[in-house]
Amino acid sequence: MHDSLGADLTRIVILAEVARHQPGRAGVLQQIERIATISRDLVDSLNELVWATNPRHNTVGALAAYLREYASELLEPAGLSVHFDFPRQLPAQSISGELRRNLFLATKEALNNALKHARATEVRLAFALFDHQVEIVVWDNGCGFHSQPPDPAASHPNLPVPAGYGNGLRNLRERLASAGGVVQLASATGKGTRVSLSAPLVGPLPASDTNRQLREPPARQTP
Amino acid sequence: MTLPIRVAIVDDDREVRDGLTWLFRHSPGFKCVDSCASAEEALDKLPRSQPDVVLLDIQMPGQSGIDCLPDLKRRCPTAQASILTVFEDDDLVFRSLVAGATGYLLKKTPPAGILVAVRDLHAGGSPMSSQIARKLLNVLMDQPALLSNSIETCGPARPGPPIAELCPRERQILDLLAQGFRYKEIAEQLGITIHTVRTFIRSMYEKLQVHSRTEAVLRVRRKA
Repeated sequence: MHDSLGADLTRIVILAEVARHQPGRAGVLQQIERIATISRDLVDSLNELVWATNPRHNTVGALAAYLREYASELLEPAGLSVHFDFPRQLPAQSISGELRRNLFLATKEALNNALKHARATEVRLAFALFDHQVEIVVWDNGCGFHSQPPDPAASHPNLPVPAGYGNGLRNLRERLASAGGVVQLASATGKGTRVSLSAPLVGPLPASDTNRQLREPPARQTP
Repeated sequence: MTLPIRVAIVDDDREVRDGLTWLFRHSPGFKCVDSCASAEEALDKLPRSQPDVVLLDIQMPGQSGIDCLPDLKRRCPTAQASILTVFEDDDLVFRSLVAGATGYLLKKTPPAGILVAVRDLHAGGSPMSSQIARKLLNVLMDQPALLSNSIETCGPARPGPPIAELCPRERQILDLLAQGFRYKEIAEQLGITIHTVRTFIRSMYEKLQVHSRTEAVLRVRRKA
């Protein structure tokens, strides 16, 4: 299915590319350029979807590598410097496709915020794994938010966030919540932004268990 | 002045073919020498035009781009073949690499990126993403004979048995690629130039192909 979608999108990319180099009215050329960009973005999204839904990539290492590559490819061409703080060796631990997809999309959102809204020149991406908990931190040196206390309480859902960040942040929280995880946000005007995404590797409990606390640690059997 | 890079395009989609032909015609330093709508047409025409770089679609009516690669490489031995693909499907890309491609190009790549990739390929570079590196590592795990601790195995692949082995340096580079490191970071980390990183990656591709050819020979011998 995605093959024919991709092939058609590719046609649009190439046709728009050729068209925008033909002589024509400036306004039309601008619109054609938009078409080229949008269709390329669509191919990207489809590519990400193909990666996200392929169970072969269901390991923590594959997620870490993909995030690292994604961040470099997104930020470096835009002139931002990217630093990584990843463990030297990740254990060959498996991760559910659902959680992997949500963590990728949430990190993507945070990185794009740093790129598009924060006016940052530098981004740090950290990846850590401890006690069956994944934590991903995106830090940027951009403009930060005003009206936002730089403490962990900033993860409170009712705190105000600046325009442009609102929707993205809501998306982040929903993504992480569905995976049983949390988003922590710390920022101050001119001091950059730090977004921490953490989630347990063992996903949320099945729907039949909704009465139980989501964040309750798994019951341990006593010998 | 250096000679233009002579490119051939093999794709059954006329719009893609015409678009790419147009791109190479209008870019200084490149020349589009052929454009074919099928693998069969390519096998017939390209030995005459002997392009430097062939961009090859995978799914085409008749023979697939991957299946025609060994034949194409035999008939155009100096050509570098790059698979043209919509998605970075690591299975398909890997199969093309084993069959003789030294690169792969995603069709949505903007024109400037396509030109850079073709120039890179012609200059001896090969792309390798973390997905492809992980796949290669997995294949190697299943065939530990390919891993060597000897430094002598570094460098270009030797044809025929004994089967090609990855030297420790290549293994190091592969590990870093599999973790999502960029060429620049690998070069910094290992204290080598980006050019050297690229040379090692190209040699890994060549070893992979030598190995698969050797295996094919062995299979044929066992059957006989």
